[in-house]
Amino acid sequence: MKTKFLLSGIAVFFLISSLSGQEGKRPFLFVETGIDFISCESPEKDYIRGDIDPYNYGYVTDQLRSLLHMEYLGVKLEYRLLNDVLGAAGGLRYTRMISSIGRTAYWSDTPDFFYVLYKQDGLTTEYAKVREIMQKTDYLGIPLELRIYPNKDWAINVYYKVGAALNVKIRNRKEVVFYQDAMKPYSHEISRVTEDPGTFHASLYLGAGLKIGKLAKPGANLEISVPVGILPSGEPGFVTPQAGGGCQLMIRIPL
Amino acid sequence: MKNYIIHIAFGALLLMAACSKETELKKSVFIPDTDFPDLPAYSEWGYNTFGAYYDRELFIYTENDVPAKIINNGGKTSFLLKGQKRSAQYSYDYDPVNMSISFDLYGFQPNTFSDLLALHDTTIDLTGPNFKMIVTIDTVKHEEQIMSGTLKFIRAQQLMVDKNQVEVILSGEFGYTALVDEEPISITLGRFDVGIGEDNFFKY
Repeated sequence: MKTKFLLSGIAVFFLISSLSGQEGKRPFLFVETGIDFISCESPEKDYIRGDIDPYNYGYVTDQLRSLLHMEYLGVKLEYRLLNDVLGAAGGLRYTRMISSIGRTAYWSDTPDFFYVLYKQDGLTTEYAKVREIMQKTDYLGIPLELRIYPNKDWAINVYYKVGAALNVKIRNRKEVVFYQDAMKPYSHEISRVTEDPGTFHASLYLGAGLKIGKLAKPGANLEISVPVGILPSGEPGFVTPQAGGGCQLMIRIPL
Repeated sequence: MKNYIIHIAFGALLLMAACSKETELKKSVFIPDTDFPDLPAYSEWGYNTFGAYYDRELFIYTENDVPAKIINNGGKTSFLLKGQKRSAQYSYDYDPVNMSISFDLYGFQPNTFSDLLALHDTTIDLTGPNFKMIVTIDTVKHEEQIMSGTLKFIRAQQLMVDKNQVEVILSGEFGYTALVDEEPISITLGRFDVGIGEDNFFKY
């Protein structure tokens, strides 16, 4: 499956590059890097014990927090169409998605650990005191973007984009930070009760950017983007994304 | 003298290592029942809660009292639930009354809290011969004249935290009808989810 996905990405890349040389269509190579931060819902897990609200004593609290951010690196080929007004881009992208569950100990009076139920065997139940559970997932993906350049080719231009990224998981690993180091040998037992990421991950995003430098020479693009849809396959996920945003820096090379 | 001190110190260390005291687990965590939000939801996490309807009033745990104790004394073992009786309609009752129910089991003699695992999946007929029930409202204590009812220990589980034994979690349900001053009353939708450890298990 991963091989097919990789071959599809390479095919898209060469398909777009095959348009090179056609009159009116200028190609650009982009080397990109970026980061997105996504807020998530407070986790409610069957394997995490509830805790009390220190300011509403006795009632369950949502002092647990989920965090999600994505870092990526890739290459794209963009073709300008319709007198450089439109740019169609596609490429290959490596993404690392890092999600975690932990306590918001910064402003709370509760201890900075939570109890994870990781084993039930007959009449014995085992909890572990955990500070944080983190999941790092690597994806290989195909970004597809359409950019709109409403202005002439000045040294600095504003533009807009809409894009989608289709990703396939290539690696996943979990890390558990225990309250007591002596519990480290049991990391795999904690990992076993937590959710695994789906094989596929897709996102749809809108953005705006600054084109720096004229088109005839190498330059840079700086973008901000907002995900408007994230689709992990399989549910429930380790974290439940809500909203976020990110920024991207690209080196632009005319071909 | 030096050897004596070493023995005492070592013994104290062994005693401390035998059982872990998890103070966070002693707190009560209230998660409202979906259908009856005045009552805590039935759970098996050791949330140290209990609740029931006493006719239309609430019999429920409080933050000020240890919600449950096991007392093995005088040939019987008492499962004591201690809390308050108050109005079910309002969050704060200006006249709450202290109330406790002691389920006295004859023929069950646990030596330590670990022996409470024997209560797993056990249903006790409250009208049976090896059973008595003492209800204390305010400071008045009386033995209930039970007409019908059951006390069900749905689950008993030994809780280990970071591989150390901490407590036994007892989770279950109860309900009964009784004559009080020649008037029938009913306790309904009773549920409990309590942790019993060294500090609330007594044998003397």
